[in-house]
Amino acid sequence: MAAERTTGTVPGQRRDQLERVREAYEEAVARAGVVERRFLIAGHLVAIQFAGSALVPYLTPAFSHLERDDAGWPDLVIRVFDSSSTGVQLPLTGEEIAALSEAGMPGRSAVDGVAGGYQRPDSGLSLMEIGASDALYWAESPMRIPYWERGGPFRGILSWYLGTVGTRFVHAAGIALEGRGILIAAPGGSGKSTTALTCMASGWDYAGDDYIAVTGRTRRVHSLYRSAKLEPWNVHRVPWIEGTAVNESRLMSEKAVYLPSPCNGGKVITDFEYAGVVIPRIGKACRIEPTTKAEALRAIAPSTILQLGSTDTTIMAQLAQIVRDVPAYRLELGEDMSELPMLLASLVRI
Amino acid sequence: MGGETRYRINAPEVVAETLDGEALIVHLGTGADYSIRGSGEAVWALLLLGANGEEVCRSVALLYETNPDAIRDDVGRFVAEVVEEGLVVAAELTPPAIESDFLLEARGQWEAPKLEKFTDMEDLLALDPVHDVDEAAGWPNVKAEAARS
Repeated sequence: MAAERTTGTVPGQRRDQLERVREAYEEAVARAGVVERRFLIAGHLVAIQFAGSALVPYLTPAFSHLERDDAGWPDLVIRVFDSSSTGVQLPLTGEEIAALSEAGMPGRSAVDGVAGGYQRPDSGLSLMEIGASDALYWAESPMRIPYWERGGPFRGILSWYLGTVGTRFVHAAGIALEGRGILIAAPGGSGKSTTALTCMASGWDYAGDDYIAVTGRTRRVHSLYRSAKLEPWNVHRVPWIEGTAVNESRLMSEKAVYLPSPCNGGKVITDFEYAGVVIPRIGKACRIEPTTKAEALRAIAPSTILQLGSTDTTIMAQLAQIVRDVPAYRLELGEDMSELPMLLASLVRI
Repeated sequence: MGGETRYRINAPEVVAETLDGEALIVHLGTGADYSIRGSGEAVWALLLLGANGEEVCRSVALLYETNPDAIRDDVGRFVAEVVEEGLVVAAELTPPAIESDFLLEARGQWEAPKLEKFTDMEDLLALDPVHDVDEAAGWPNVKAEAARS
């Protein structure tokens, strides 16, 4: 049985923490200046304002397909700083950080209307007033940002923000053919990335292999990160991508991380209409069969809610809306994946 | 089962949704998730409407065209189980108006309600974020020594 988790935060304290971290960010900006990059994420203009440039190459490549040179007023501003390059320390006590730590996840508890999470080990701190249009992110040092954070930055903040605008940050992969596609939902290790990358090699467009944003009301999948991750021992299943990982020299201790682009044969799409939910698992031969929408919800809901952080009680209803109006399928993945792209194409072609 | 006790979902720790006759429940505090189908889904739905144990038995007996006495033990065990798992908590509620549409909905044959529990994610939430997470591989990878304990 898991230990009961508590926020360890008294009323008023979280808002005070937010203000202290905001002041620290402003001090960091005064010392290092601001570098701003803009991205259109799930149809929302997001400005990321870095104190100095140290974190930019670590936290923006995953969004590069969404970058926009748009001078309009941003829907969300994420203010980012690190201590090592700016010299500004995180103004929280060890006790406060411990209370914000939630098993390495972005953190789901909103206290005083402020969501917060400190990810261990050393991914960083995220704080955001729910419903507000700005958020704060701190990291100790660019060098200590782990590969999974570089591949999917600001998960907590984007999850909190999108949840307030009718779109859900979902633990699933997304791929499409000619603008119509599928969600691929399953626990880690079930074949989401393998399926997505195998199909991309056969001309499918790629929207993400682990986290995507979904608007159930309009049946649209929005790409968040163009990164893709594979366990090193699974790379042989996707031979076209072997040897192209951005962290090729560290595969003894890290998952292989790829940044699909036209340069390496990948095509990343920003959004598409989804026509079904596919639930993969490793098996003996590639085959597909219909299943229930309840099974599709079970494939999406627990890992999304528990990993990405829920700050409201309507999340299950919103996730149910994503699967309610489309068919669901079980997909068994075999060693021979050559027929997989064709098999899945039959689900999206009208 | 206290026959007069009414219950509400244990929000915000517990979230639930019913889709195509199957209730899916996630307990954010423990990381466990649950599925309830068939007869159990009807009992779950009545509990969330605010029915007490006796009202659940009477309504379910109507739904499945059986005698309340024949299902009382099954219902009692199921209610005790969802209470034990922390999915519902006792609440001061007024007797619900159970919609006639609900009672007229076609149902199959009565079977003892079953709560299916899945703990795939529970183990991850049990990790100590400082000591048990593998620092090289990151969450949700577990240090070898933590995995063995």
